[in-house]
Amino acid sequence: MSKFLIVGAGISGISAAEILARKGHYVEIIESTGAIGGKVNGYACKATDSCSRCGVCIANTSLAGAIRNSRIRTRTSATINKVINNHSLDVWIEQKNPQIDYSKCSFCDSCVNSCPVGCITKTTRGEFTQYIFDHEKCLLHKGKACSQCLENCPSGAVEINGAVSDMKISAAAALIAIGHENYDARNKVRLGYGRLENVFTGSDVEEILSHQDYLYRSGEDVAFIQCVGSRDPEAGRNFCSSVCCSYALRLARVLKYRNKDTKITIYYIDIQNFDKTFTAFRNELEGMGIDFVRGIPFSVERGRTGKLKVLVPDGGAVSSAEHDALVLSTGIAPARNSDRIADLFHLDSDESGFLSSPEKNIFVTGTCSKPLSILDSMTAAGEAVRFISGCGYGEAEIPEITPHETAFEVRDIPLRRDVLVIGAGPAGICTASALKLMGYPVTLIDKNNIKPEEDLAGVDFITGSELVSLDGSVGNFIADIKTPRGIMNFNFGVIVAATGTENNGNTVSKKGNIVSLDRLGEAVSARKRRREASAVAIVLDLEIDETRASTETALKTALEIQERERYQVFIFCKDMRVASPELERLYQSSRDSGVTIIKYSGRLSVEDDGSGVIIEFDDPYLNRRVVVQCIIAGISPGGIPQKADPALMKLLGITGDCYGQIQENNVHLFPAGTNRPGVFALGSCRGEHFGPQILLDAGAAARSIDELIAPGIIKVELSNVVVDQDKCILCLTCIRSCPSRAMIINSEKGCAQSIAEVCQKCGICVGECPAKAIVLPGYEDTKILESADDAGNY
Amino acid sequence: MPEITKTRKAVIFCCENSSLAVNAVKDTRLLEGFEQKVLPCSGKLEVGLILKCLEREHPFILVLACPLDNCKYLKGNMRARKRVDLANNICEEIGIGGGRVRMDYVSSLDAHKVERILKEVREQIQGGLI
Repeated sequence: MSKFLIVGAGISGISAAEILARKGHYVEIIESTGAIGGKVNGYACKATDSCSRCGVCIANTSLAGAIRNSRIRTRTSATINKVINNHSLDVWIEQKNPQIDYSKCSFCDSCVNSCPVGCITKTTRGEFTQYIFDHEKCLLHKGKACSQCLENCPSGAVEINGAVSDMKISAAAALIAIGHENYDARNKVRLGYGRLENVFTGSDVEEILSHQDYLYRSGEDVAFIQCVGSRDPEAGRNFCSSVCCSYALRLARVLKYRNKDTKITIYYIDIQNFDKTFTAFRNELEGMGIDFVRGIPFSVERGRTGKLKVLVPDGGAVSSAEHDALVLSTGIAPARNSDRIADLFHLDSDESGFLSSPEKNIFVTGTCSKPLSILDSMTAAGEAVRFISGCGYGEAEIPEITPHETAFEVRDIPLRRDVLVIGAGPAGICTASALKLMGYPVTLIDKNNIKPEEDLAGVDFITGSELVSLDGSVGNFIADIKTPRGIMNFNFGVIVAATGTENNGNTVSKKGNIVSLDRLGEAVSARKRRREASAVAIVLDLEIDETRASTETALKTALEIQERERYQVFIFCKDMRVASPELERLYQSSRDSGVTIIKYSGRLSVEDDGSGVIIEFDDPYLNRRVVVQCIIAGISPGGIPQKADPALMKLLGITGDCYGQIQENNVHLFPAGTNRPGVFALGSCRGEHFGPQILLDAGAAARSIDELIAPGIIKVELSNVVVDQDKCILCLTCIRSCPSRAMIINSEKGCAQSIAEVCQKCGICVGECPAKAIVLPGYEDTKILESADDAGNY
Repeated sequence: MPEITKTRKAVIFCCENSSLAVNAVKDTRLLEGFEQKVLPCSGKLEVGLILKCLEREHPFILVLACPLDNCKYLKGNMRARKRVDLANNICEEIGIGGGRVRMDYVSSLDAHKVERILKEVREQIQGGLI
């Protein structure tokens, strides 16, 4: 049994704690503020009728689950005074009482009702409920001996040990997840935050929209200003915060949806591609009538009409516009206590204030290490835990599964430990080797005869083979694999699909002087050297918005060609997608080396005229059509989103999204999962193309797989749907409608049947069954209809 | 079929996630006159169940489901939508008036949206539109 210390009870810290606790470790979380949850507490759900995939609801669900875990102890309003890290890590903290042990708490509100001065507030967001103490009001902190909350708590969850108590915590390792503070928009005096009324920051708007429908009146005219405190070398912050475009666009969509008369303008430098559905999302926004204006306003004043007058650079001139309200999309800045924590734990801090740890037993994760969204923070926390476990701090006691009270029979179903990984690309290889390190027998198959660069010793690697049939369910899959030696039969516990995508190519024909971007380097080398300088074009955003991955390829290629003699590279793009610190640096260095970036709007045409390429586009700065002649043009690999292999998806029984890519499961579940338990999807077949993110996902997937199969059994409560043999007409509706492929046909009984370990108990089959043959225990029609106050008067 | 009266409560069918938003409604007076029936997923809702409730003289049925693309069971909310439309069509056809069943997409954090919906439904029922 090891104990871990986590500093910061935000979503990163809490997710890491939850995983550690599930692995059987004890975790102490130290939080400096009075509330658990960090920044997520102030975020609004940004769904209209459809979800915008912001991840706030899933974060709240995760927080709720974690704080009730008996292995996790959260100490709020606590400060760290001293850290000694010699052979073991000892931390001295000071905490303000009362504290609540949420693993005992029954959320009955007795403490709130018993407090004589009303210093306890209950907050509920989704599943997540917590009590927050106001120490200013609390009698205990005024020197009085009040312990009403403790005395009245029926479950003994409140702890009081003096007003302030000191304690020493010894831990095997510490994880620093102190999060971030929003960039202080007051530093940008000319933008008017704190000076003019109705100028908000993004987080103000999140807070406001979580309890009302508009900012300050309905039918307002709102403008968003992007990149406040991001991508701003003058402020010492030359990086993209990567989250502001996503929250601003989502907030804009919500405002517009809630009131059609709201007029919305977004002032931007580059809109970042933040999600795999980004292109569709942005088109939807443009279709809703949201204005995108390139250029960041430099001055905001109260105009004569009483509205906010905004001055924006427009080509060489200045244009002005008036708005009712302004939203400044502030970036991610270091947390308030970042320097103090860095001193205490001897952390390194880079020029932007992001932390990293040189110590072996101290780890850093979350937004204090780099800008991350909610979902990315949760993935990164999982990866951090895998790293901690890999460092030998992982000796955990096998967590006992405490049986919760249930009226149903609980059965143990054995799981196989073998894992099948399909596809030997980076995602597949990374997952396979991570699982191999954890001691699982891994089989890696790939359609093509390829030789892996990495050392795959211990992994059963079969090239030139593919899956031909699949039967069984999670823990016990039976697979037929076609190998060069014939069809072989295998048993697996878990299957990972990392097959990549078929390259469809885009509709612009690639011939003559127009080549695909990945072949541009070779094509330039193959040409005869000329005396005069030659222009080389890289054309991006031609059919669909580029991702971070394709932008990275483009920038690397550009830099490489530019550094050769007598070449000038032009990159034509709509927006530069540089939403990560590494990409921002790459972008900077390619500009420094002389690559010219040209942003176009509308359609761009690329024509081969025999001797070279003619590129024609509308220049938004010059406001006219521009023609550029180059010797050769590389166009982005294009055709993205490419489809995953549909035959394989059908075989695996998993569903695709609107692009035909394997659906990353709806945000309630972990990111690598699919709709079928036991089948995972990774990499570009799931829509993720960016290398670092793929590796992060692969690590997180390996961890989830480990968590699933490590105990060797699954405990299954037999409360799955029951099919009435006499009513079932074998119409297969349930098999088609089941989201998790839990229904099979029992040929002996001649009726449908659900597999207990797969059934998610959603009742969709019950709703669909035309013969009403299926019943979900606990949700029979009679039970739903009966109600205690059925006869109550309206 | 008995005549629809206003003697019974309106029914809220909600999935496990949207029920959290209903539970988080601050002004509990808004929930008076409504009874909440929680289903695991809105996709479990059947047309028969809606009609049964109307037959039992519940004046109004409100169905709350997760936003599209956010259903834990992939497409449960889309299935519910179809059934609600079908139920309304049936009501229209049998002459008790469509528009007795309303469906909204609500996430677990959208308590303020639920409050607004409850106010609208209350006005609709009390204003004699039903």
